[in-house]
Amino acid sequence: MKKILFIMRTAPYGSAGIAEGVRSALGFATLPFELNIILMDEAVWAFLPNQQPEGIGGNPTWSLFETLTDIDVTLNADSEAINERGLAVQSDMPKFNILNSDEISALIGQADAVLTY
Amino acid sequence: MLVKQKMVGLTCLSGNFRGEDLMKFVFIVRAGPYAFQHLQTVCDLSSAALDKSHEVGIFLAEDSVVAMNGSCKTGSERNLTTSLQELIARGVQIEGCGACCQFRGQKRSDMAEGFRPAGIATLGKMVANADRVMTFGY
Repeated sequence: MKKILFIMRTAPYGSAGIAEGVRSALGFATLPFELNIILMDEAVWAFLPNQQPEGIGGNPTWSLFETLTDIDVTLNADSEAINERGLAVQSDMPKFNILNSDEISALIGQADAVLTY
Repeated sequence: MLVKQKMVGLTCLSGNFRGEDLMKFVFIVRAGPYAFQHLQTVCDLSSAALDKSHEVGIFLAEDSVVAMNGSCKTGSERNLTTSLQELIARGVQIEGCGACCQFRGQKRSDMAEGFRPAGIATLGKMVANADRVMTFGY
């Protein structure tokens, strides 16, 4: 089974990056892949609590990630990016594995294909 | 080094090669055809790979689907719709995200000869069969 890694690096709002990545991951879930997603750089703003993106016509990233966990996509996030922005993992979020740079390197190294969003 | 190449995506043509093995490359393009260099780079990379008898597949996503539109007039600049059609003639599988077309009001009847809308499952199958996948965009 091929291991596919989606790296998301853009902020959750202001561009379609995360939404497009999630859409792709949902499509890939119909095929025999082992899917991982990792939030890096600006994408970790998804951890900010009490987001209300409806006001700008956006979709809450929380619900997107919940959907992904429902279909066995493993969620990961970059601890360094989270700490740099003073963010914290919220208790009501889907489960994320918080990885350091060595663990992220290993995740990328083990992937058969890496798609960036 | 390998990890960095996978993240950047652009340089692994020579970085992780197994001698003279023939490979299947899949290039995913996300950026618009005329605001960014990505699609032009993909066309050139594809041509170079074909010259060395590798297989190439291209998946057009997000703004890059505009390149499938048969009405693009680029004046004296390179017309990437034509470049893609030349790659199709050389055996390259080129697919374009149908949902991305719908978001941009691009109908099937707007597409130039040789292009068709596809789903994300098609991309998944292309990735499943690829030896190397590279994403171009933003």
